[in-house]
Amino acid sequence: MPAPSPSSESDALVREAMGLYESQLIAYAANILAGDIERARDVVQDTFLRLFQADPTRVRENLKAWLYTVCRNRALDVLRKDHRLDLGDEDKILSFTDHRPDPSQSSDTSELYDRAWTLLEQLSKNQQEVIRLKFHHDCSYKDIARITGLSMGNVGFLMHVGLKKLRTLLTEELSEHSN
Amino acid sequence: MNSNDHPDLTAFALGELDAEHSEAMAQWIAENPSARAEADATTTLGERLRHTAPPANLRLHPQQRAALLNGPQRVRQLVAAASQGSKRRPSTLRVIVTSIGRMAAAAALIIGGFLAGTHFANRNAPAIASTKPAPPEATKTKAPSSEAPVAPFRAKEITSPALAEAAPAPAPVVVAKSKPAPAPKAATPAPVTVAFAPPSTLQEPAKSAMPKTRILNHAFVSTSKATLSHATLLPAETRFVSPKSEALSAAAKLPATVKTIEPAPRTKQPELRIHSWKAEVASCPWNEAHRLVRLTLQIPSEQESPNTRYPLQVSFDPNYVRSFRQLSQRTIAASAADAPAFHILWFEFQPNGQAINATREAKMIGSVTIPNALFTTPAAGPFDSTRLQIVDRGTAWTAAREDFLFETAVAGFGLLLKGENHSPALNHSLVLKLAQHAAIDDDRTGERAKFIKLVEDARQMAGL
Repeated sequence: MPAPSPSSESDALVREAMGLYESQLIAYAANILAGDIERARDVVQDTFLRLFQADPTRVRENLKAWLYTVCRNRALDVLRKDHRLDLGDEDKILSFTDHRPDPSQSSDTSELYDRAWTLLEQLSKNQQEVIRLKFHHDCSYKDIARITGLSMGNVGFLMHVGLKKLRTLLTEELSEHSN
Repeated sequence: MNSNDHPDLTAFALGELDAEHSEAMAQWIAENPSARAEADATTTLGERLRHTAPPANLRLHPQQRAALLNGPQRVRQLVAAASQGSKRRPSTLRVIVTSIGRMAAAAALIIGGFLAGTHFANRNAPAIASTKPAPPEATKTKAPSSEAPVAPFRAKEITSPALAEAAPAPAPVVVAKSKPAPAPKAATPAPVTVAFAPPSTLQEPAKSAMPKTRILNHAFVSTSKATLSHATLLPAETRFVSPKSEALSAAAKLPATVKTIEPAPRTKQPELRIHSWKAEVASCPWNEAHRLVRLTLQIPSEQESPNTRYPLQVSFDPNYVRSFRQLSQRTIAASAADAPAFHILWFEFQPNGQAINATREAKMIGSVTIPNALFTTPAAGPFDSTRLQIVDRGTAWTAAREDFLFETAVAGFGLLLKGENHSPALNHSLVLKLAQHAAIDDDRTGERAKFIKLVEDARQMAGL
């Protein structure tokens, strides 16, 4: 039996990648592109096109991280061309010590947690990204570090600060809700 | 950061620690109930986030999928053709046409610049007279009156502190003059004469160095004429000053003198370190048709180059902003040696067309640029640390944060004190209402109560 040609291997890999990650990648790119789904689709199509050109044996091992990395870079390229790239680093300004009860300790907060993804918009871009990659795209810290180019320590710090702030925002919502 | 506020605890709660560290952390939190509660809260939040994550059900368009799944060979051909096409040399005709166009543009610029310069020089002859070369000595910086009969500021006004303090100051005081170099031999940098005046008279660098679009007297500027507002940030003003060093510096204050310094060689401007920056937009309490912008920069009080004045440029998009004005700019020095400092700017603008309301999509109405800014904390990816977008989400002032409201009250009081260019709806009662609304919960230092008392006293004294 002859060995599979590189092109047929690439085709199989692209089909597999599309089956597994097509929708997830569109959602991820749309978040970077401020909800522009059409552009997100273009970015994801471009990502799969690049997968055709990549060496399947090298990519297969870290397929997910590779796809997210390429998708992210393409989306950021689009933003750069549009001059829409910014970093809203609001951590220091918004951060404050809060001694009110944590929302997880309240029994009447299940509805409130549904708002967590909306409240996520109030976090800085980098915090949003690591939290989305972790809980929406099921990426590990290691994957996130590969995708974003950050160190594992930075990913851990951003995740820690971001989740703390999200809890604070939920607490504020809870107190407003109860008032 | 206490022991319960550590990234490792979050990593443990999310199952991201390796076996060895995870075991150690488990033992530690078993003995520490508060740490366990913290970890449990993080785990709960993580689970809820996973559970409520928005569904990812979007697909590529059928033609996009078909291009990928059914025609990989064709896709490769297209990709290869595109990469070859990008390397194609431009045609000779195109090169010639481009060259002619460039030469024409250059010639138009030179002629236009010459005509504009001649026109400008004729119109401003008296002002130019005031910048004629002067000897570096203090007593000779005063230009002969015959040469500068209508010069707006005389050197004498800033060489004597008594005069500088006593004189009314309807306009900014020019504190620096540079020797113009009209003669060809002035290619060698000439010494710069700088007059040092008391801090109360030091307002801005040389007037001639300021951009023409600078906003003065709180007047509105139409975005059809200028879309930029220029400000500067001097890190030396943000430094923490201990009471002891403040007393020493007060004792060492000298009367205004004139010194001659050699111009420093041109070097690359050092970076301005910033912790964070933020732009907030809300409706204007004293004018329903207007909106307010607050820009807040949080910076370390100790900078590499504290005496460098960093340009801070605010640009408004004419598509969304019809006119704007700068209400105030202030620097809050660090309260301790290791505490951050703040630099805050306020703008009022008139939206172009119908104002954005909260139900509409957020709009980018402008941006802030600091060319040499660099974040003190690592950012995710290649984000731009020199540019911040100003996004209007349609927030009403009634929904703004308390500190925003309080500072709105302060800015409004500032407009009242100036007594010009403000809406009739802006009065002491509105300022008090805003300040009192904001001061309900968060007045740890008592500053808000002091401000409210001050406004009440001012209203009483004005007989209102």
